[in-house]
Amino acid sequence: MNSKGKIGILKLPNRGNLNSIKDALEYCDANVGFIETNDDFNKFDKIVLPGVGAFNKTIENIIDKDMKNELVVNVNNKITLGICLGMQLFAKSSDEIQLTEGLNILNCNVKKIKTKYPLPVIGYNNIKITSDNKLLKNINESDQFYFMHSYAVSSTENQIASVKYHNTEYTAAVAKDNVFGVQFHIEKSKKSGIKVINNFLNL
Amino acid sequence: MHKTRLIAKIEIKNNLVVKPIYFEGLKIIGKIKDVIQSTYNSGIDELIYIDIVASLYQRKFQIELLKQNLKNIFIPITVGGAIKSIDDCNNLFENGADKVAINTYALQFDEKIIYQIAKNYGSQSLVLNIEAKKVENDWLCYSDNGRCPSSRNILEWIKIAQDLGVGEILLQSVDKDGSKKGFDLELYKKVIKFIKVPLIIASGAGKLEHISDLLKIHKPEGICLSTMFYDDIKNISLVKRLIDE
Repeated sequence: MNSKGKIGILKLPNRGNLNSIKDALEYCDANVGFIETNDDFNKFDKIVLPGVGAFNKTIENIIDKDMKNELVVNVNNKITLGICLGMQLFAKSSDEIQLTEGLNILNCNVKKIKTKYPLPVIGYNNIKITSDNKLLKNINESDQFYFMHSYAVSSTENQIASVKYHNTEYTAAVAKDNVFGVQFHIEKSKKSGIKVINNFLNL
Repeated sequence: MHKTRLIAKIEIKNNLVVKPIYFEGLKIIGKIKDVIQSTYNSGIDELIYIDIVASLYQRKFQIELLKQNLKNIFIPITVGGAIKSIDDCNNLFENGADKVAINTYALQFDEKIIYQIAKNYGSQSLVLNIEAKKVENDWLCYSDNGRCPSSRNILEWIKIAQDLGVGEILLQSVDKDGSKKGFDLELYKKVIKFIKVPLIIASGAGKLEHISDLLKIHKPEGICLSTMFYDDIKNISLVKRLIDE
């Protein structure tokens, strides 16, 4: 069992591939549970915001459960990892479906990827490290990560890695103090994803 | 650059993996866990898991089977079979699905389900499963694993589904699936310029040459195989090498 604390995955109604991320964390010997109400936050040392869903619907769910304030306080104070949409939630806003305010933790916005190639972006790609960070320790150009999205965060001073879809380059990972985010699915990226999960557990 | 993904299609009937020939006669391949584990260990990029009789027998998807057999499989999983509602999708996403594949209900009953799923989960979570069959000089879309015809021709259906927000298209051929005679290249050539989302080509590959023939026309975002892997699991690494060339 990993001694680095208990990991809480934010569980919202009708959201996300929750078992996939739970399985992957447990495979790395993490102690994992779900955050379903405001009372659950204090049971966990680290937070994971998982990522399948549309931005506006997810924010709506968080507000409906009256969890927005508590979530922001906890993300600002605990080591937190957002995956795909989970990372995008840190932004000020998103254009997906309708303009929606985010958690406003990072200074960026979520916009549709500009490309003439097919969207959504779906598939494996390597990333370019743009700023050294412990989350991406031992990750290099041979590591392949799974991307599945049409929207991405706009350029930000918190970027730690980028990715190229044909000739469009955009943010693949962010970090700001205790807050981390990856646009790719670490729970779906074979051994490369497991490396990042272990890095997160060791933060 | 994104690579063409190599995808294994695992067809489930009751608690076994089977392979239908031309979507009809069934060959039993093995236990679900064994088949998934061996394809994963051989380096497959993604799995499509389809309950091939759920729609036909009008019963619910066997969720426990899915949950048990996907443990420690760290690649994307698309799940299909008898999806009729957002509740059905929730159930799949909570139990291991990263994407859902829809055909019968959208094609034969209510196409608006495509819009509803895309709106709730984002387009990237939804794969349109097309089962095309050549009828005279056109291709019609079939459902229930190639058994039931619809009135939709393929280009019309692709347009409608894309407009409603489908995120990916899995193109299967009822005439070729399980045949090992090669992909339906005529069908592929017909649809390619109308497809605006990532396209996964399936049905008919029996040898490496068939993959090369396909790649000569165009490099799709995904190639989906099953029979070739069941014949010889080593084909996974051989096909991967061919795709990456």
